[in-house]
Amino acid sequence: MKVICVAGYKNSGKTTLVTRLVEALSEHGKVGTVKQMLHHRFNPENTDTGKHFDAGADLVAAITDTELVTIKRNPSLEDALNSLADNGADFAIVEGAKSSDLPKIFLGEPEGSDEVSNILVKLPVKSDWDIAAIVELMHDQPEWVTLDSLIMKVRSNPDLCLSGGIATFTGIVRRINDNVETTAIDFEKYEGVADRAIEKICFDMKQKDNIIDVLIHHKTGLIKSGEDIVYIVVAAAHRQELFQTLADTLEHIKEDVPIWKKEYTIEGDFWVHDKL
Amino acid sequence: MANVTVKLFANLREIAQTSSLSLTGESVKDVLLSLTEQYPALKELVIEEGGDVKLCGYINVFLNGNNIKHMEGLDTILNDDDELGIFPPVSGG
Repeated sequence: MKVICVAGYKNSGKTTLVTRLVEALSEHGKVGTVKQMLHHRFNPENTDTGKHFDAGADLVAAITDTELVTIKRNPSLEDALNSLADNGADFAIVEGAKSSDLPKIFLGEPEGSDEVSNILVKLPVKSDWDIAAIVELMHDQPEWVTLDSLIMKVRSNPDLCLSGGIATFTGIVRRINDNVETTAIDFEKYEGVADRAIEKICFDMKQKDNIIDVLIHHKTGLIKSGEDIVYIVVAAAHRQELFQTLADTLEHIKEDVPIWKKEYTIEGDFWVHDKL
Repeated sequence: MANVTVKLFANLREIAQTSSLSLTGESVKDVLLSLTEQYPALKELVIEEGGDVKLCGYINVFLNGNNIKHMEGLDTILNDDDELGIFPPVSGG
């Protein structure tokens, strides 16, 4: 899922730009949006759903004739974007989120005191913007991937009609190793070369008989213990080749992909390859 | 003589305190010797002790994304704008 943020002050035309982008991007795939509404309550206390929520419901789902809304606690922008990805969005446009690190289109000029990061381009307020150019810009952004977004992709593969099963692997940062607690692992990759190595593994695994689809996503950067590192999703005709391919794919990732791990523990940090 | 980019990763990058540099050389061997001359701390990790210049087993060298062991190894001839990646054993997944 490609993500972009449309930021700017009040009345700069954010919603107009977002709606134009939604129209344009809908021709290229599934579009999701996020509206950040700080200091607001979406689900007021005098509504039925507000009363459910205030009574202590952990989740409230509301269904109208045309909408399904899920109201959750402990909101975060990351959770909102994960939710869009899980539902198979190809593109996500965030209205607001000026203070996030997301790649942004800024309408107007940030005020001196405001530190706005990752501005890809500044556009004039309420203008006749070049939507096609912004669509191009979005295609260059990194992919936001969740396990479910990969499963959605596999499910939309037309060859899935030949499949009898989908198997997945989620690699996570192990917290305890020989009684020592790991706080995080930093993953460094050889840009470009690592991506091509991963593509080659997917390609090679798909050549095997009855393997219908293989998708891999490996995160990089600092990942805290308990959090996800890598996702593998395999679809195959039968269970024998399905589980075997899942296991083989993981072994290939470990042997062939130029990625290195630096482990941070409460007893110090080290490069994992030096300990092997 | 070719002008190449050398990319360093993991502990090699930490030791040299840089992730990317430009060097010149005719072959991979030339560039490695040049690299270890500029960063002596890398020498013991990259080049094996002894008369002949040999790559430590611990180290992989990629030329434009391909392992030099599938080419002429250290004797592989370089061209302008080639990219060498020098790194320790991989540990992804």
